[in-house]
Amino acid sequence: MDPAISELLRSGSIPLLPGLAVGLVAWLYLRGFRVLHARAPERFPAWRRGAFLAGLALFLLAIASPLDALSGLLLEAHMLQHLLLGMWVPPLLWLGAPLAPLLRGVPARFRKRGLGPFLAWPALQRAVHALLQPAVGWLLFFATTWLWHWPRLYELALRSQAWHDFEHLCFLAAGLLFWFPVVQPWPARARWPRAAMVPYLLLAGVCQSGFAALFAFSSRVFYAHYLAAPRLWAISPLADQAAAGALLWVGGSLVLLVAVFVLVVDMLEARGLHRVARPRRRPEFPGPAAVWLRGFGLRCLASRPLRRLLQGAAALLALAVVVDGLWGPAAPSASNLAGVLPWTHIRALALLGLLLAGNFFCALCPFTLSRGLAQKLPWRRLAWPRVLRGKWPAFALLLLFFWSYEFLRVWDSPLFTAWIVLAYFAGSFLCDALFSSGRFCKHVCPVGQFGFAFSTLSPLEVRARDVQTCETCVSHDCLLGNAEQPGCATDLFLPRKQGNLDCTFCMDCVRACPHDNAGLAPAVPARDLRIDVHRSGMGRFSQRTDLAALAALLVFAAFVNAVWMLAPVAQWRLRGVQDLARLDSLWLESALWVGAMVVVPLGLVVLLGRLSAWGGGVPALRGAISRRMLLALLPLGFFMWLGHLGFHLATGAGSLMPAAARAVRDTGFGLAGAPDWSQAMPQAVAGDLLSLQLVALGVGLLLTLHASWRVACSYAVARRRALGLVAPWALFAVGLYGLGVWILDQPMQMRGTWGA
Amino acid sequence: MFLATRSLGGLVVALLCAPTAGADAGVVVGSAVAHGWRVSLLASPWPLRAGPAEFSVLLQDAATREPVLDAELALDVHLLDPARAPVAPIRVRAVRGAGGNPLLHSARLELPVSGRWRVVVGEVDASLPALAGIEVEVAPGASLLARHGVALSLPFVGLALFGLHQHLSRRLTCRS
Repeated sequence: MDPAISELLRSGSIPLLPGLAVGLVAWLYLRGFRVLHARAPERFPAWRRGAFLAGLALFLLAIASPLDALSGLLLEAHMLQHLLLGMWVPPLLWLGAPLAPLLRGVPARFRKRGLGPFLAWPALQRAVHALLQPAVGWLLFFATTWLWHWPRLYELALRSQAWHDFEHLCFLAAGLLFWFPVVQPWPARARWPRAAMVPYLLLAGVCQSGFAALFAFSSRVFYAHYLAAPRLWAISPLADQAAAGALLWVGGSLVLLVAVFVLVVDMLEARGLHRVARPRRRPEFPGPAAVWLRGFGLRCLASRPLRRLLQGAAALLALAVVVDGLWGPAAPSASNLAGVLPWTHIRALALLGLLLAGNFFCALCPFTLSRGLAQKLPWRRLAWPRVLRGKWPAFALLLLFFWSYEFLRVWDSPLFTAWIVLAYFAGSFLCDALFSSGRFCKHVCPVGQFGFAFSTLSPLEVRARDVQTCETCVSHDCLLGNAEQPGCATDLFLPRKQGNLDCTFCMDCVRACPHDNAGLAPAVPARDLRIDVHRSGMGRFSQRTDLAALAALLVFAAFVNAVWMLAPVAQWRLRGVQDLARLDSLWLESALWVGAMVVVPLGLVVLLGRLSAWGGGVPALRGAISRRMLLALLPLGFFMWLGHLGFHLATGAGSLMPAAARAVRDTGFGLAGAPDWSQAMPQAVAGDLLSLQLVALGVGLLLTLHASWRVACSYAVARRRALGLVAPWALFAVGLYGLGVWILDQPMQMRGTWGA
Repeated sequence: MFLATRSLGGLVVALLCAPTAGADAGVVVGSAVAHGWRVSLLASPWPLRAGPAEFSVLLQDAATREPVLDAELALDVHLLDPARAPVAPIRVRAVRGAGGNPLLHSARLELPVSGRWRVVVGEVDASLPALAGIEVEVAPGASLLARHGVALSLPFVGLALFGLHQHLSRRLTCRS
């Protein structure tokens, strides 16, 4: 085969957002189809699922390489995309009868409360009713086909990716409207007699053929773009255009004729085909328990040997960071494992893990190995001092860490990084040697608090499967442990555990529960921030000043940390660092930094709390409201961290390989070749990255606003009062969002690369 | 459910592993024939503006038009009127398939200022003669809103939908 063609066939680039959208739709459909198939197999036979999935697969094929790769060079490739999107994908999707499965696949609570008001909206119902008229669908389909192939619009789509995407969306939407009355997916009702669909399709075939013939037989090239495009395999633009016309003619007519044939056979053979037999009642499908992540996955996650193995691997990485940090090259830091691994890779990946799954960073934390050793020491443990309970020790350590990160340039100092890792091992060992188990994680570990706080946005949580089973339990092994398994080290009693705060995902409770009643369950991200119940080991959020302060610190640090590495600020600071001997410069900068991190936020919180309590007419609850509103800011902070650290990962991901190669080579084993330092140069990132960062920040703002609104509604019954209560915090969140947008648009220091 | 979870998980993994750049290489800004090769330069976005840009090169055998896949190309990009702004020349390696199309050698770079730029396509080995030099006009950078209007509008669309949802919910409650 021609090497170029084989390269094209091997290539595959799925656009991120459409790919994720297809994944979500497939997941919802399969989730709903499983239930409906069990209830009414006659109406939802398995082949419908196959048709729907084939439609989605064809959609991905249409928008991804190699077709998309060729669409700018060959008209026939582009026409094939349009043919697939308008003529092949829609009937397959409708054959899957997707309306009921998709609705059923949406979580019940969201379906009822979230979608319900929209589905019952008369204006929307009228609009949908009008759009689903066969005449409207037919006209829109052909209007779309003709309009988008008009040279001016077509060239516009070729020049701009955004217009190109919109063009494809139009073809898909028009195709769906065109095919809807033909397929009539359940529970749709026929608007026209079934027989009318035959001329409907035949007339479409005539129009389609006329349109295709224009391309196939024209003696001039319609699109200047293809005249200028480099010719592949010496295919002339005119031949390319004729091939595109033929493709549309044959491919379009084929599907229309098949549809006519099926319709006619359907009408002749079985008049009652659409009279669906009364569904046979099947045994009730499993209830909410079905969504529990049980089976092999949970057994793996809860397996102690596997966890120890992964912790061992993490400990080896930590050891490599320490050894390279102590004895490896100090500059540039991007050449040292201690300069890239913790700051560029692990932080960003831990955040992604929190967003996609849960706090598995804590579950695999290597420092718990030293804790485990300390717990084997035979003496009696002391009680954790009352004054150090809560999150204040971690707050102070986090503040110290953020300060040293910037002013002692920890990120640029492999030696300092190595000492921090060593201090972590020593601290966790000492804490667990002197005090009862788990105090380090619960009260001291700054990284742990970072994970705990942001795991409120995770889609998974460890929970009791059935609270009634817990009520009959007298041993409380999940909390206290038993002879074989330890209980929860952070004092979380499973029946009263709410959300992910203070949960290290260690699964000790899952293993300890004698009733097999603990497991991983899906959780609604950020739901935890909206409710104020009494939580085991935590109390109420509205009474936890330390927790609110920690949340505020993490949120403000996300912005201050990013501002501090903007190119202009970094250059200004660099001049200061060169004069480090002049202490006044350091003190002045530190004072500014403390002002931005502590003083200004404190003042703002007091002011917003007063305004909010006054607006809501509940001055007595000022403190409680402020605490909960600060926690509601966590999503915004999280997505700011994600945008920021994701940028460093995108620009500096390549620096790990040469640093690792250098470290291995330095050991003298000669296993690795010479490091390729060009990989450690800052990688240019696509313009799409900023779009993704902005979308992420927007999601954070929406989650924050929603959580704030729900908090306000829990304190003010009247809507106007709730608006008054939430307004100051909402405006503040929008202001932070604006600041985040500005920060992300600025040139940022390429930390973790040779360009830093 | 397992099928659903697996399929979603599989797709997410595929998305994370697969290159996610759009395969649109942009608009042809020029082509030249030299040393038996035909060089076509494509640029995206179009029109080019100061800021991030992607240049793609299609290298073909001038006689057969067969794409050449094993070349190692580099782009030298410099402002034609450096007196306007002191901008250092940019040299980047064009990697085949980096832009999503395996036939094209692509490179992303940042064009710091507007003006007339010259893109010289050559082999990575700088001692070899250049294959083509093509001039392109770069317009001033677009505003943040123009570049990322869709992403920026997302929270406000979300807010509007939420407001509508609250309104409809209240109306439903009143009716019932």
